[in-house]
Amino acid sequence: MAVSVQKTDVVRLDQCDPNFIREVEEAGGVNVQACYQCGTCTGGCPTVFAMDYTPRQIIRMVHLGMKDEVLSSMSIWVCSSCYTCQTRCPRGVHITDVMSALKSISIREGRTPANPKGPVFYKTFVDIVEAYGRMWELELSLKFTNKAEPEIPNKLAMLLRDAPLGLAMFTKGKLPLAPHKILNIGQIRSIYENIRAVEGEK
Amino acid sequence: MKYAYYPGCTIFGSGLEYQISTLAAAKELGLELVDMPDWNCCGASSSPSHGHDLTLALQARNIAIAEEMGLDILTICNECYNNLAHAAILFNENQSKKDEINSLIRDTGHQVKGTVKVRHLLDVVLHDIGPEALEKLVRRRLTGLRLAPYHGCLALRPPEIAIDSAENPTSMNQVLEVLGAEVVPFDKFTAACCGSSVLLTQEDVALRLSYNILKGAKDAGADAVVTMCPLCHLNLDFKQKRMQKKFETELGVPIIYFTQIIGLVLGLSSKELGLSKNLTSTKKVVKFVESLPFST
Ligand code: SF4
Ligand code: SF4
Repeated sequence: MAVSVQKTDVVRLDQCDPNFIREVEEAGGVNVQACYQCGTCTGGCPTVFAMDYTPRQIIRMVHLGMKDEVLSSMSIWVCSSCYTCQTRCPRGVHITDVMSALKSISIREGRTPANPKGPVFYKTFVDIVEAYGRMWELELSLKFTNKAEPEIPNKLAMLLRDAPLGLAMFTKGKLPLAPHKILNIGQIRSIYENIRAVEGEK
Repeated sequence: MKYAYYPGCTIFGSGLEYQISTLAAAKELGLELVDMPDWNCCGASSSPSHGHDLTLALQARNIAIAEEMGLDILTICNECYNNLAHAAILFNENQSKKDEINSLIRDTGHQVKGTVKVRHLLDVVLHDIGPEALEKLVRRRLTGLRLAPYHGCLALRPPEIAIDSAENPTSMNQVLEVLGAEVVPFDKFTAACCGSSVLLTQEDVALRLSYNILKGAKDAGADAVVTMCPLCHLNLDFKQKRMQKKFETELGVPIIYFTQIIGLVLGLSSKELGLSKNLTSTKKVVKFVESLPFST
């Protein structure tokens, strides 16, 4: 797997951000300071094989304020939100929520992610919900592929590769060609507007 | 037994047969599923891009609609269940968070009071209907059918919302046993993550995790894997051919919703249960079940 960021084993204290831990807590990372580095989270993590830093290391790096390294790690995008770590942690660290918080901080700050497909997916998802109030799988997969594969040959290759599966779904009546929009879509848009207003105040 | 039915967005597409079989089986089971008017998406993967408050606000509108109906919510998707149950517990316990989210949804005309519970259909079958009542409804026992019960992640973890043990869940095993099926040894995989949430962004990771589960089922001699979530189902069923190619192993494991299995046992036809909509062929299983005698 291509990991674009140089992995580090040196902690440069002059480059650490002491406010980072607070920021992660505010974004939903409950009890992150309680971690005593036992490694239970890493031991049970099903996706650790594809991570550059283990969940235990990510938590420690949050403690140390290694914001740039954490936000440019592959690990935060590899996490599948399975909640195994959070369930097993003897210190009550909400590790899965920390991973989500790290994704959201990375997107909010417009960081260059180790996996560019991550932010594309989440943004496409919320845009579709804002437009229809419900998910529309066809638009999600087409828009995602279009944005996640900027090179035209790759785009076409992906679409061609997925076409037979799409066709199979379509013939079974499982790929509607129009969204099932909710009636009161204005209500959903008002929620998004209020969220944006609150975000703007911060 | 009456619930506000929250089906989730997949019912219009990839999860079509889950919806068909849920509605058909619910009728036979005596569950009254009342449609929630104008329900919205639970925001499955929304929190990373707008923070957790958007996810909570999307739940809040749905929860308020159920409160207006005076009913607890019943969902069939693990992801919807996780999001809705998390939010419901938070609103029921944390007044200030509830006020904050109510302010975000103030222009919808709905407000959360914090009174409803959120339930997963599997939990309702096992605890509201119960094994004894279920057994009485069985019209043909699944003697000789070997099934791998797959619970997945999000109805078991984290503990605040769990319908069963996170490490050794047996809810689905219990239901399948009541139906007379043989449950194959599957403890290692039943609560393992299938990776569906990273299917688009990290396909290699998702395929590896799902492959392990299907290989586990195959090695255990299962005739089918039984699912309780449309996202797990999509990943295991829809992407199975791709796994076969990537790992150069013949799989061909039917992926069947527990509602389809229950429906067959209650005497519903494969058509009434949408069993031709599953991507990996379910024909062998259906044929076997249809050869079983009805009890008198
Ligand atoms: S399981 Fe909890 S305490 Fe142990 S290393 Fe992980 S976060 Fe820290
Ligand atoms: S939630 Fe993420 S970090 Fe935790 S065990 Fe699952 S995949 Fe690993």
